[in-house]
Amino acid sequence: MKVSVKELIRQNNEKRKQLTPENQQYYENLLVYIRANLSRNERATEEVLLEMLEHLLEAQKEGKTASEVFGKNPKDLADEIIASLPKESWKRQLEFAFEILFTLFGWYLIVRGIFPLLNKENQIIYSGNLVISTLLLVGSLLMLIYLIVNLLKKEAFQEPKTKQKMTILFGFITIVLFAMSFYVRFAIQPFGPSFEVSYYTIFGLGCFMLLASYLFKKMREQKV
Amino acid sequence: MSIRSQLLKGVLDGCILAIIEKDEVYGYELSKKLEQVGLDISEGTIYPVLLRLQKNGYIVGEMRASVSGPNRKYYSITVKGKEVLDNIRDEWRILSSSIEELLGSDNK
Repeated sequence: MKVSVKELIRQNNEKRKQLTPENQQYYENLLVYIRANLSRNERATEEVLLEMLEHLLEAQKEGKTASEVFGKNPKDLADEIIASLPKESWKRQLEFAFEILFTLFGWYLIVRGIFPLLNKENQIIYSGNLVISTLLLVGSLLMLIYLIVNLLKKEAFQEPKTKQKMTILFGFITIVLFAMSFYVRFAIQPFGPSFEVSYYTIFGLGCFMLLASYLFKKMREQKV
Repeated sequence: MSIRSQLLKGVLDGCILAIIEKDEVYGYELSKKLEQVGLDISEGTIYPVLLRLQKNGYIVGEMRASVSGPNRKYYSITVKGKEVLDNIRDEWRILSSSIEELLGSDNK
């Protein structure tokens, strides 16, 4: 019987609890660093992570520590593992990108559409502004994803104190980016052909995107 | 890096293939077997090797679910892997006898 990717992740979460605090810290740093590589095959990644966890658990029973098992330099080992992992297919990477974009856009549209929905006000959309704010939003979202992934990788093997500082900085950038993408709507004079959409369209579109991203997610997790 | 691990690096793939040829093993078992024959490597280093051997199609790994206890990924050698292993063995024989002649005795 083959196990689904979701099941592998669930088992990993469950079994990590059996590690000693010290080993858990070591292992989780390794895990975050390796998982942050979105271009690698997800199944192969989760399999090797679970394998190493099982290995560590057995070694732990013999009284060994993680750094005795996997070495004093986890970053080197992790880099070597990433380099040896098979690449994710182009198609799946695209599906994953859509999943993330749909999720973020879905929430954005729901927030944007909730007031027109409650007030039952039809909205006038200017296509020029629509294009610009869409581009900005996509840009800032991509940057956000890039930041998250890179930060995760960079932070993985750093001291907890440095981590905290980075998280605060990261949170600040996120807020600024989102504030900007909302502000754009008011900053630019309306231009381009306009059309009217009914009060529930924006909200509905948001719901549709969230549903689509949910389906993409289900599809991804069920793959064996 | 110690001299021993530097020397081992080039032939570790062959050693791991040879162990897998004999028996299907999972990761932890493999590191134990390497240890038993006296090859003390950092245990983590077997994982990049296993990934590489799978990618090249020399071994296949199969994750097996068990009712109780851990899921283990068992590795077995492929036909292609056997051919490569035979090749490594031949090369090793030639190389080791030459090197033995140079480095094998203390006599000057």
